[in-house]
Amino acid sequence: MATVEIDKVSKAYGAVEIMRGVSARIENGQFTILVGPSGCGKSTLLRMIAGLETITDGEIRIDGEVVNDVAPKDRDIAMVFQNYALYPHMNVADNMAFSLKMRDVPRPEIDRRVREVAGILDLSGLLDRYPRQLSGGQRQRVAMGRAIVRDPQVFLFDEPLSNLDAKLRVHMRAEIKELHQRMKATVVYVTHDQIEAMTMADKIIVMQDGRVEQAGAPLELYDQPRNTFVAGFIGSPAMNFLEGEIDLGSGRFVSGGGLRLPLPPVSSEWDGARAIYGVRPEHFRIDEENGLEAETVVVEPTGSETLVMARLGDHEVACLFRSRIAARAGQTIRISPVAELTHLFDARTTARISVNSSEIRDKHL
Amino acid sequence: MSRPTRTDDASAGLTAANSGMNRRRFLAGTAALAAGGMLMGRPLPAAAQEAPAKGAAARAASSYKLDLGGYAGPELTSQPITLKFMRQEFPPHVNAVLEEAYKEFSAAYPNITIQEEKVPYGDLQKKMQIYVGSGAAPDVMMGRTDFIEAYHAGNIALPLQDYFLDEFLHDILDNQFKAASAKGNFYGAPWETYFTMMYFNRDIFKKAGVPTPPEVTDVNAGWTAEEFIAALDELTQKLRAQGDSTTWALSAATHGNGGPGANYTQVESLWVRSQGDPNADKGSSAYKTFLGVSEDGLQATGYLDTPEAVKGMANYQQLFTKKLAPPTAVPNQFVSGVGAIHFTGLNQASRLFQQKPAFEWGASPFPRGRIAFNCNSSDCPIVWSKTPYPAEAAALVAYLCNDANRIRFYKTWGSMPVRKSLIAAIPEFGNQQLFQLSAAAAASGQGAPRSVGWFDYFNAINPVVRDIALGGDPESQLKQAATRIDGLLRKYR
Amino acid sequence: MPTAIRTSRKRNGRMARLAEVLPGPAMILPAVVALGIFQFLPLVVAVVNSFRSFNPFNQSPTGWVGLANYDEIFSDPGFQLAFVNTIAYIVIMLAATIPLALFLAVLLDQRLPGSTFARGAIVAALAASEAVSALIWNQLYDPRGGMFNAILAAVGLPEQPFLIGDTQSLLSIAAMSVWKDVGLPMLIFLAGLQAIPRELYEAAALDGAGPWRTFRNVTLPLLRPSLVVALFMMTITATRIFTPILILTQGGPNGATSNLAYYSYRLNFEFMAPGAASASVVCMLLVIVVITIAQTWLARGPKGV
Repeated sequence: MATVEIDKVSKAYGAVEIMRGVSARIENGQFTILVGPSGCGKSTLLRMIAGLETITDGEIRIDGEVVNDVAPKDRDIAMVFQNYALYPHMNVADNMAFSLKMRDVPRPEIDRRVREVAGILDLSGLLDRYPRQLSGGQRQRVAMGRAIVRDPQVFLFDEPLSNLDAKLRVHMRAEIKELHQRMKATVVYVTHDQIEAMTMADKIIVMQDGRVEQAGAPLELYDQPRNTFVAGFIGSPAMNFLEGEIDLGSGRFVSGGGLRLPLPPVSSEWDGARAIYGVRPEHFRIDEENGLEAETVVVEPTGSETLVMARLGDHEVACLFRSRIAARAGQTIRISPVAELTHLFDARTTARISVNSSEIRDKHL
Repeated sequence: MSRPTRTDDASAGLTAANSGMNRRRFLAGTAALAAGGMLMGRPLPAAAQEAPAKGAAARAASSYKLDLGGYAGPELTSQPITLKFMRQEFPPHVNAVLEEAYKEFSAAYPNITIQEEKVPYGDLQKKMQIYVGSGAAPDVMMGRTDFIEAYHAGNIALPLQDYFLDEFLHDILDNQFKAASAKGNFYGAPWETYFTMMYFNRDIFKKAGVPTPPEVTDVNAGWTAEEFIAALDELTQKLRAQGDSTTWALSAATHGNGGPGANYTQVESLWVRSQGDPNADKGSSAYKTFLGVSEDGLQATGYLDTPEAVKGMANYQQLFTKKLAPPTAVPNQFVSGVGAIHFTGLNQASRLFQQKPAFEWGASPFPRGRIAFNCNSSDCPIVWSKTPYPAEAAALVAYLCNDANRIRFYKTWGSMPVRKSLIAAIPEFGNQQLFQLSAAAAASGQGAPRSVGWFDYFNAINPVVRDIALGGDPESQLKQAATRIDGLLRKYR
Repeated sequence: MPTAIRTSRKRNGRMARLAEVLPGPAMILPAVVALGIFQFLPLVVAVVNSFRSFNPFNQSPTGWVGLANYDEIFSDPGFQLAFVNTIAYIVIMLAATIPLALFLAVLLDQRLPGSTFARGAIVAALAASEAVSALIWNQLYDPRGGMFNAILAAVGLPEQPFLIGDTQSLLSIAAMSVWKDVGLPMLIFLAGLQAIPRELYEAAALDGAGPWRTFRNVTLPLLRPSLVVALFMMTITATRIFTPILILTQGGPNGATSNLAYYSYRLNFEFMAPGAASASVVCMLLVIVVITIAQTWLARGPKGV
């Protein structure tokens, strides 16, 4: 097990810089997820840790040792690829045994470990099969088995679930999580799916355009997004944003469309500033007395909750209610945001300017 | 007989007897040859041989619309027809001579169109076989006298004696007439003749201080094979002693693929068959060596592998074992001045000297063995046996072989005439060493071994000659070759 | 009436089915006919002709002779030599071209500087006229002014009789053919290499395999289909070597460079024996069939691939 430190890492192809001074710390035994839209550099960063990509500037350290110039095979790292990268000419057992063979592990030891891992991953009956004879989920497990059998310092997962169907994905998510908890391994996991990130990670690193936007525990990112990008990326359905001005005198946020919304705590210096008001769909509540009038556009009941797309003045907002809403499309409902759970962002820098504390959150949930 | 009058050079060539021959004089001689032949309407020499049986009455040449030369067949059709003529490719200026002739022919017979197919020389025989096999061959095809037996046995060529005047047939050199005939039929009018002579670079001999070959007019007065090898050996050693490692005593053959085994008929068979003797007892191996194949043309064993033949090939082999000649093809070796001696024919020599070699040269007979021997090999247009227009095809052949067309051709191409009257009409053949020697060689030539399977024989022996040159044992190689050829000839029984 | 209706419907149905079924065969018919005429007919003709006798003058068949043509060639030492040489050409060509082509393909697959030029040069050799190539090599092999002997002389090695030595000549022909034909298996391997997912190499790198073990354990097994194709193509190419023999050695010295293709050619075009030539061609085909079947069997992969 090991700690991975990424220290001001940059990468450029000629004049094109695709990674700019990225720093991050992956703690020993933690499940760290790199998340971001495609092209944000998360896969590149993962491949840099693996040694499959060169680093233009900066350092990557594994357990304190700089590995910039260490060959992939000498980094003691295992990787699970998006397309599994199973050797098609080897059966499951040989695929899993390959890395051990390359390390000249004695044959009985190889057999023992392969059998053991196959048992863990429920692959015992498939050891003689070839990859093309396996289902997607089985291949996925073989790919993991191949990594686990080596007992490496760090596991890297490159969007491992993206080729699976939704149901299997949920199942594998749980399986991987469980496996991690059982093995206490250091894992770096890349995904573009924020639900995967939220459900699996000990720590999430959100990336965009070759930069780290924010790193932290999942709920930390949810509660205290550093900027509109993180705020919009984390959480589903995504946060609603409204542009307007802060009016501390009336204690309201005045949107461009003239809506007046309750303000979260914000320092007085921001009075009159142009800002972006962020409210998560689940932080609207039905408020028959003081609520703002909104016309429902779409109502999507899922049983446990109800997603409503509603027109609020000039804005269309998503609202998620824990209760069943009787309204049908076209009807008017009255809603208001929970002021303490809303966010304010500087319209110019998109950085968060409101202050909210976990006490406030706890009181309301 | 007229004096050449066309150029002053020609007169100079005539008077320069026994002095060094150079390119200018050679060309002059060729020109003189042409001028001499221009005389038309002279009486033809008396026939010296028995003519083949002739059915049709000879007509007077004047009754045709054109000078059809020796043609004696019926008047040509007035129906529109096309005659196809397959021949070898010539250089453009020679092609032009033929095209000019067709124009003249078509002017006289506008209903007859002549369509040519020109193929590389080496492909002529194969192409002819394919055409004949397909049942749609050209009416006239350029054949070779070596293959006349096959044209006869395969019913490929039409007997032509009935289409020609006796005078014309008798005018052909005897050995050529024989070569162009089979089983009493005359199959093709020899076009020009090829025989091998020894050309030498006087400068190289002078530099090495070795006497040049005798520049004689008698084919029997040249070097013997032994003298030839000894002289070349001496020449080589002296050149090497002088530090010259690039000049060879004998340049590589330029026939066929070049190098040893390039063309048995025209080069290497001379070494073998000159060890034989046509006048020896019929059962003797000397006689059989001369024949090269049994009387019925179907057996090589006992003819190709005689002690005499082995001796001939052993002589030939010494050219290579003693490093007198390069073991592979070398283009332009003689003309580039790095080969002291070159064996070739008159027309090739004339083309060679048109390249203006920077040295003085001379000519001598091919080295003789027991006899002086030269294999006459002639191209000869034949008429396809199944042509729908036999008379017209024969007339075309006769027309192309009339005096005017032949003279024009020889003049342009520089080759050796095959008719006595044409040779006699050209003074150089009487008074200039090269041409006198050429005439003597042409007159004394002998045909290729008479076999219906000469094509097989020829193709089988060439690589063997090459193998011997590269060090194979002449006796066992010839024995194997003879056995192989016997096998190949079996299918003609 | 119902019967009538049924039949008419039936007929309509059949017509409809016909209209559905016909266009397919109709579209492939030209290709089938062309293949039949240009590929299979000559094969059948060769087999049939190998049992016939022919008129040597016009090459028309004259009758059936059973196995006489085969007897004739089998008893000819020239055939035996040509047969052995054919095998020798195949063995030498495969032994030389396959590893070389693989090496070149792996090298070019690295996309090093100059690989576009190198690939162009190798493919140019493949595209060049065989006759022209042979003439160029004839000059290179020239015992006196040739480049190869000049190189040998320059480094103090004895000069070689490349095309006229008993043992050298076959190797010289093979060397030229290797140069000429290595591009084909190289292209096959290159295509095969480029079809291997990069991830497999990355997986192997992380699994701890060095370059050689990666090549041995990943690249090579995954090139197996390409290898089978390349072996097949090169076997045929090696069996068919003809132009260099015709131009460089004419089968000599002492038949040392003759193969079945050249031997068949001589029988047919120089020795007026189409029957025996066909028998020899049939033998050549059998050599190809036997060797390629053996190769397919030897190179068969595990059932998973």
